[in-house]
Amino acid sequence: MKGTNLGEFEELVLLTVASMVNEAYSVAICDDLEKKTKRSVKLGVVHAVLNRLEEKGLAKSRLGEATNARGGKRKRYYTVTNAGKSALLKAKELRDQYWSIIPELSLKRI
Amino acid sequence: MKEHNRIFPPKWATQLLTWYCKPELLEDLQGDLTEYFERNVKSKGVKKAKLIYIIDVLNFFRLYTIRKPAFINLFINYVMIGSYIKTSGRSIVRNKLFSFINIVGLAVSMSVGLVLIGVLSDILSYDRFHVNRDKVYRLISRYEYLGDKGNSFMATTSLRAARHVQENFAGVEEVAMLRSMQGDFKFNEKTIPLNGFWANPALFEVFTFQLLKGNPSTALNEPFSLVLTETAASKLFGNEEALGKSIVYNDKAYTITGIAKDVPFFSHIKFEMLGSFNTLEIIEKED
Repeated sequence: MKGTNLGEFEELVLLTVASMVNEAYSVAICDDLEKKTKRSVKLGVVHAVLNRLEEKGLAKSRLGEATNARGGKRKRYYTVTNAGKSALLKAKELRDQYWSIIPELSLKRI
Repeated sequence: MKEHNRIFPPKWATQLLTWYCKPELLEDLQGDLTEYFERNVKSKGVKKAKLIYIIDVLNFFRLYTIRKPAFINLFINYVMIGSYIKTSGRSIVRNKLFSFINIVGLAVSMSVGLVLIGVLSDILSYDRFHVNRDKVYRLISRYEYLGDKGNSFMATTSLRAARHVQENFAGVEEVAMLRSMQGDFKFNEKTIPLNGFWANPALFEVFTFQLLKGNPSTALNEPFSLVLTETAASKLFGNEEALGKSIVYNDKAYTITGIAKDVPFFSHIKFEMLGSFNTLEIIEKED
């Protein structure tokens, strides 16, 4: 098994999935990421990351209902698993740890 | 959106995707691409949308999306195979002496078998090129001493036997006679040792030795005529024409009446030159 550490982009995708609750499917995630990060996000990359997250057990997916759009194909909705939540928390705690150490003075110069 | 003016992505690209993609990933991936396509049709036009769709389909050809070819399932049991290797390795280590005896025995027997196959196929490939190979017989002689018929055979026989067979037996087409000879052949300054036979013209009827130059039915008719193989001729004459030249052997001049193709490797009769048989009779009378 690959390590359970989150890469930067993996973390972003997983956060997006968590924030979109029940509406998280590949194209919506892609759009949301593009809007928030202001960088172009390729569907292929997002798809690969979602697939990897599912393999690691951090996210799980289910197929939605068929609609008229998308050529009648179903969407695959992703949700964060408990392992995914704990991985996100761990990443956040790690960051917070560093932030608590950094003196405010050094940040004011920016 | 009305059904009839709906634009569809290129069909072949969709088919390509269906072909390579894992079935469990196919549906939503196809849906995603279609959604992007429909969006692009509105914002960028049909042509560009189709191009982007094709590029995306090719882009998704990745390790995790492609389905495994069916034959890979045969190797999926590699865990089991690994276990077999491990357990057999352990049993070899546990019974060192018997494993050693078994492996060495198998190796020896297999190599003996392979050697036998090699020897047999070598033996059986000899003299296959003769057209009349199933009609050729060899006259041999059995040695008798004081009425005791032993089992000692010789591969040769008297020259008289040849005449006798030809005159007294029906059904004998041709009798080829061969007497081995070797010696130094001189042409100008060059002296080269050659091996070969005295042979009568029937040789070319019985065996399939091709003449490149000269007439096979007359080449060995006249006394003191000689047939050389290509290699022997080039040894003596280089690039010069050999036919018709005369060379010296045992102080007598011989005329080259034919150039034969080199004897095939799988022939048990090997020669570099052939002398006409009636020369032998003349020489022996002189002696």
